[in-house]
Amino acid sequence: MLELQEVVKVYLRENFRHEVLKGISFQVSQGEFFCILGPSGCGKTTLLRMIGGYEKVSGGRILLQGEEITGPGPDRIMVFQTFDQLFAWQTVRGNVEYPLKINGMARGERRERADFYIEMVGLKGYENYYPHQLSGGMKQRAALARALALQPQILLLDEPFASLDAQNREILQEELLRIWNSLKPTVIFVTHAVDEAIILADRILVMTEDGDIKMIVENKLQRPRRPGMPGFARMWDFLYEQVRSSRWQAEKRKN
Amino acid sequence: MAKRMFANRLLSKLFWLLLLLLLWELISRSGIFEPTLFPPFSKILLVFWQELTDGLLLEKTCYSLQLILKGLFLSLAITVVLSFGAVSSRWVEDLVDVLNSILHPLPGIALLPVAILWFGIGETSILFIILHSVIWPMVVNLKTGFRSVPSIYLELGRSFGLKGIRLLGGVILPSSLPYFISGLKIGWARAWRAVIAAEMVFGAASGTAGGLGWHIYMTRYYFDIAGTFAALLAIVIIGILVEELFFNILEKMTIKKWGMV
Ligand SMILES: Nc1ncnc2c1ncn2[C@@H]1O[C@H](COP(=O)(O)OP(=O)(O)OP(=O)(O)O)[C@@H](O)[C@H]1O
Ligand SMILES: [Mg+2]
Repeated sequence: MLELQEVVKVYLRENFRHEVLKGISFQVSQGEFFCILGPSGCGKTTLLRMIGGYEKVSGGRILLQGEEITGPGPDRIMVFQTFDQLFAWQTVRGNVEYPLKINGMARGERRERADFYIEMVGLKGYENYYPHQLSGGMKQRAALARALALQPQILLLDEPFASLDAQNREILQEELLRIWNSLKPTVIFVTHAVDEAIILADRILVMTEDGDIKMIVENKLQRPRRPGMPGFARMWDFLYEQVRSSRWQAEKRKN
Repeated sequence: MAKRMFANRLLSKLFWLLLLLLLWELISRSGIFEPTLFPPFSKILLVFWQELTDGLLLEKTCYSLQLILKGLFLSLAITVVLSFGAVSSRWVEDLVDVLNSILHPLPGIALLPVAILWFGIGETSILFIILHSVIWPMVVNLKTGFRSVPSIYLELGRSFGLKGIRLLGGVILPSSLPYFISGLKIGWARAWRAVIAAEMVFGAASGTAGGLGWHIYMTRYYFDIAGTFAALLAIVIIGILVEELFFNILEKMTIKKWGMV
């Protein structure tokens, strides 16, 4: 289980304290698909990076299975929004195998595991391609395969499909759900697209624009979820309104 | 299309080369200049061939090349350590900056008298000069390379469990390979010049067996001007081979294949 207790993040700019996150508390249980939804600049990436251990908390604690997170580790792997997260000097297979090799897995075993996940994300036949020979969507798939192959406790996904076209995004959403269903990792998925959050998540955390929790919404819609299904539109309207009002509330607080 | 253009450019370059050589031959044969001082190209080629086949030129070249290789490998190791230190710690960076400001403007050959005093006449002194000529420009390049490693790579490396030396070898070095190779090119060029120059000064100082620089010095001493030119020709050919062939192949096998340039 992942637990955040009153997590605060402050950035210092010259002589000005910018409080990006203002005491965030929530829990995510093992195997849950958890979405963080919020407007641009509200601190979603910052939050995810602190869970990943790339960034220190300024206050509060983040606990994983009861132990405080102190730095990055192979139990939490992040897939970033950018296409350029594969090592350019390794093939698709090399990229997926490399973290396994670092963690001491024998050659035959890691090859087998890499090929399994490469096939799972639909990149069979592209094992020997270098990243610069892949399309943006294929790069994201490869990055996902690399993260999955490590079988982390928690998968941290920061708008991984945001720079894809609608069709590719839909396909990858479906595939992610299929993988999640069969492996049941804990997923924390950041997005600012309301429909994406509804399609994917068990629970959706809505953030205010100034870095606080607006609310956490349980998503009880039956899977698989399609935009046309009963209840989808109502959920969408509700969440959209929350995101929007969180924006002008933040405006008001500033003035 | 691009291929044909490339072939055309190659042809036109070949044309100029042949024309220049022909001009050389004609001027030399016309007797305007003293022919021993300005031997015809055909004669240079002949001497070059003779010395190549009797092994003399090859031996001299190999001697110089092995010196350079030793020097380059040593310099590479020192450069990686210095550059990594510089990007890891402010302290070390300031030290490297100070050393670089003092030593970079000093031509290697100017240090030769000091090197001879310290290390005597021989390989050690030449190695010292090579190190000095190569390390500073390479450090500048590699420091830039290390700084240009995307932070996302470093974060991923740490996520996977890499730290310190393993992070350096597994992520930082491969990621800065384009800078590494361009540093190596500069290093090679400077080492080559340093060796030839140092050997020639040694030639003046003593009679130890030496490389190409020494050979150039000796041929002039014995007034074998065609031999001097043959040695120069060897230098040009090696330069072309290394730069056009070795570095091109190296880049094709690595950074070009990986789309890093
Ligand atoms: N390293 C940093 N130094 C200073 N301020 C930062 C730093 N990183 C982020 N911030 C600030 O923190 C705030 C939140 O940034 P963050 O990247 O977490 O937003 P986000 O919710 O991920 O936005 P987006 O949806 O656009 O990706 C922004 O105001 C940003 O300027
Ligand atoms: Mg973000």
